[in-house]
Amino acid sequence: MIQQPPTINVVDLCKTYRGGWFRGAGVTALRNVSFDVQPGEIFGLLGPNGAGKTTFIKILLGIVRPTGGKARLLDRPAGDRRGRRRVGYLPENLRIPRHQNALTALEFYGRLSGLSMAEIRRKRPALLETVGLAHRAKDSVRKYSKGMLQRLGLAQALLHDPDLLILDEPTDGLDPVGRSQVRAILHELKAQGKTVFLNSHLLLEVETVCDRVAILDHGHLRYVGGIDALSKQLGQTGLDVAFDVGGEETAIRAAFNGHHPELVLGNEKNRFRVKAKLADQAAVDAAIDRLRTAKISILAVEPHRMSLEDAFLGLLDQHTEKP
Amino acid sequence: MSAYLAIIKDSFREAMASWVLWILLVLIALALLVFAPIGYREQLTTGLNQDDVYDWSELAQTIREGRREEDTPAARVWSLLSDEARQKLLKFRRLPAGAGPERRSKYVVARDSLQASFDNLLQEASLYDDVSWQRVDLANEGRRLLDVTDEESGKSAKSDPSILSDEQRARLNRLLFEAAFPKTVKVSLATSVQFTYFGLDIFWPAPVRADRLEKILQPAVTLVLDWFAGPVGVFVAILVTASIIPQTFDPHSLSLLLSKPISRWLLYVTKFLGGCAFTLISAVFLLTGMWLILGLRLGIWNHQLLLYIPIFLFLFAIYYSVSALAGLIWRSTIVSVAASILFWAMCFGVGTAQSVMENIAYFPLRIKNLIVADDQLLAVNEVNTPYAWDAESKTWKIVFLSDGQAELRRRMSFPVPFPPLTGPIYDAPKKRILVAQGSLRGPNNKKLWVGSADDQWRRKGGAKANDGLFALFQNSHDEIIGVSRQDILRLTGDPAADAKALAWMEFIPGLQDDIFSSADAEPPLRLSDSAAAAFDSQNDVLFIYDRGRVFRFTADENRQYRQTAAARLDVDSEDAAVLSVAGKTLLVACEDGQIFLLEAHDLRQRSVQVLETRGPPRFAYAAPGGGWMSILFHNGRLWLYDAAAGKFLLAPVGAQGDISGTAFSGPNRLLIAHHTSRVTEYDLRKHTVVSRRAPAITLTDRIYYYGIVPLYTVFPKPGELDKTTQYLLTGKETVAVDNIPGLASAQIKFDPWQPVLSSSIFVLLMLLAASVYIERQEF
Repeated sequence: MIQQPPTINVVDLCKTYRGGWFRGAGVTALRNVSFDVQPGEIFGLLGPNGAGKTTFIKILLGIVRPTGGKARLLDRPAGDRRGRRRVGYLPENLRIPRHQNALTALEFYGRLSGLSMAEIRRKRPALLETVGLAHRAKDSVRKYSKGMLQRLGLAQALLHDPDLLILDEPTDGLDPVGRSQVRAILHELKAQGKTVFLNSHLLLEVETVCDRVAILDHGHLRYVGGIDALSKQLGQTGLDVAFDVGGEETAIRAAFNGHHPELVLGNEKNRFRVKAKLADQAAVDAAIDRLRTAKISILAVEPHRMSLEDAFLGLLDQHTEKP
Repeated sequence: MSAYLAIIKDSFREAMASWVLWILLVLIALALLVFAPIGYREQLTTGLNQDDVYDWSELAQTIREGRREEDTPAARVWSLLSDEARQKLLKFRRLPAGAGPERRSKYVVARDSLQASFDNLLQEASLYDDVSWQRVDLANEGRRLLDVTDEESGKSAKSDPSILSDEQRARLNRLLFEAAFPKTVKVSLATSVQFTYFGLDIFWPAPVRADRLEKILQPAVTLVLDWFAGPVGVFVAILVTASIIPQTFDPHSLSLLLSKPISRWLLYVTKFLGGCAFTLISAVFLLTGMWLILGLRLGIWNHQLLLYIPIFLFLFAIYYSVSALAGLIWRSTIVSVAASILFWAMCFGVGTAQSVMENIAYFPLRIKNLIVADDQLLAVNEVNTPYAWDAESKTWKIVFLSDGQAELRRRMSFPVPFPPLTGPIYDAPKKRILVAQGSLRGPNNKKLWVGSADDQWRRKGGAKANDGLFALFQNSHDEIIGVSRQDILRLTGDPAADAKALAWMEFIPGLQDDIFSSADAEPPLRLSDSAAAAFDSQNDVLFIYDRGRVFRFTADENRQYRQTAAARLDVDSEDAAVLSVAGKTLLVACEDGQIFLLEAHDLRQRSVQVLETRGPPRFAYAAPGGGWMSILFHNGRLWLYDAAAGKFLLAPVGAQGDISGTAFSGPNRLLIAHHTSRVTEYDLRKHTVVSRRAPAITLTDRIYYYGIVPLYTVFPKPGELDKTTQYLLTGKETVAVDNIPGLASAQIKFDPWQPVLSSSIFVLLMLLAASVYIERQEF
């Protein structure tokens, strides 16, 4: 099998914004960042404010020039016009000129992306349907809510059927329904074999849809890889499991003997939610057996993996403690 | 490419979405609607307006004197006047020199009332009767009106003027009046134009033929466009479009644009062009509207008016290039507008400095006439101040001013314009110069002055000269011959006699014109204000050009001037011309650029050609001996006619394009005045410079020529694009500084393409700077 070149490939990427006579010393936004994004992946870029995420995207799109290292996009140097032709980009806090409506905006951005008028006319209705703007397509964007603008921004990014989507905070301003629609779109794109590069503050969002993530912190790349692997890297083992059970409190405590369970009384008498830290699945199975043996009813069992948020904060903590 | 077209289309959308544009379009529509009901009607010229009479007091006097004679026009007019009008006429007197404001305003009231009486008389009464007008030489048009016959009754207008329509009768009255008092009443055009608004008459009828309407409306249209529509339109356009670039390069919308596969600098340039869309829409609307109104309502289909559309666009582009660059760098609409205003102020400052220096310190001092007085050289500048060259100090010394003028000259720090001069001519046998000049209060009240080298060119005399006098010559008998609008005159009095002694005689009828006596032109002259004359001194032949016709007058044995030939030239009859005569050749250089060569003895046309198309001729002279003739054009170029070779040549002298005056100082010696006040003398056969007269360069000259002029040259000149439009509309690169008829009055030469060139370079530099900035900048 022929190995496909990575969709995004950065090696030792550095960026320092120059200072000036009145601006004081320069600011380093990226320090020796290297990673790849493979074709077909949904990749999330995480980091606190000022981590260098937007700079990273701007370098990929050629809006900002790197001060060191290499960046390639779709097997072309970052910023190359032919590369950009195959990219759909949704910037953060997108503003669409006030004289546009959805139809004219799509026409404008579509033609800037190299589409013909006929192609735009053909694709526009379905796309507006997908992002849920079909019924307001002729309204001026002045009347649009932030969420509607975001949908329109997503539509323009998808219009020219790009191979790579770079989405900067795509669900910003969207209601839960909108978010779920965006998630569905992202999965659909993944199914089509498109690569999606996602930059989001909403960790749950990233956790739900991304195959892999990279975490930037003060210009340093702290992590690249799967979310599961992240917790391992942090040295955290075991499962947090919550049991909803019914029975005598003493019997329940006995069944979790030695595991220091945390008991919370439920709404009804003898109904408890028990949170316990168990080593692995075998320990979970054993706990269930003991509960059943003690004639305790098991209403629900919810295993809790370590969340991305936990991992993210843990990672940042690590580096704060050991800079 | 289609991506960039999309940007332009988007800019159009943006413009169309702007409410300011719609307000502007509505305002333009309203302005056009206000002008739309204007129309005109061509009608016979009737009545008598203020300007139709050279000298009201003389007219009044003529009628007063003639009222008691029998069967004269004056008696007829008197008989038809009301008692009240008669009283006014009897009381009406010339305004004495030095009259106070109260006296002056009384005079004006009396004059206006007299004019109203005559106007009423000519409009309403029927002046013609069999006997009163017998001795009057009525113009052909008048004779034709009298010959009109009523088919039914068989009566002619001669026997019964009532068969004429009211308008025809009033026209006949006017013609009779002109013929009866040719010295004081101007010859009128057969028709004039009456403007209407919603079909109602407005203003006085304009003394112009309908087909010349365009010519008189042109300045008004140009004025509106250059001084109102242009600046206001551009300012509004800048206010509206100033936000386009800052908005486009706003970080929130810019990164999306920059992520698209388009080039940055082209994005900027395209946005810039798109910003011009706004101006384009407004300009197209306004100018197409004006063009349609002029065409549909006044019949003037001036397609060149539409050329203002690109000119407006260009004017806007100059300011917008600055506004856009500021908007790109600071991303602020306010800074963008402020930068345009600052830029305007700079352009205005540099332009004003240049223009003030040019118009106050240089143009007025430009020498237009050179007079060779034996071994001395005299000159007259554009504001009619005479100079004499002082070889010792190498300066032009002001001479020949009246006490009043000298006083005025001393008090004012800039050259004061004095009334136009007729002459000066040098009377070699008597070693004196003669010149006629109106008073500071107006072109009328002309007086004749003399001065001689022995007396340091001090002005003497001041006898009243005929107000219509427009040329002075000396004939073979060393007599001074004057040509006025009404007659050919001969100087018979002593012009050097003290005028103060004569002053009181002004009030005695008949004594006023004593200094000149009539040389009895036959037929009598009735020349327009733009007539010109040339004189063949050796053969005593006078040539006159007027309204497309040339006349030859020869002195007979009684020294009376009789017309011996006449010819019509194929030119617009309202075009002025200058002429000169050398030997057998009469040269007539017409306003439209055609140069006619006619046989001097019978006025047969020998040839016609065009030498300069971009400016009318100003002066034509002949060298003593007739070997050369010169034609100086208003654009500063001098052509020569080599009589021996029979051909024209561009004068082989330096400073072509900057020549303001010329004269012949010998059969083959040519003097040219150039670079304001320098004079160089050439030998035309040997092609050498004979002498130079150049005043020393002053500090002001240095500041002007080495500071202001270079700065002005490289600076963009948005304020001067009106010159380009003027050129495009008229095809002329000279513009008259006053509205004195004829060609001798100064016209300022301009280079129509210089503002376009310097401004284009400026716009390109601004776009280049912005492109470099945008390519290098990180957003």
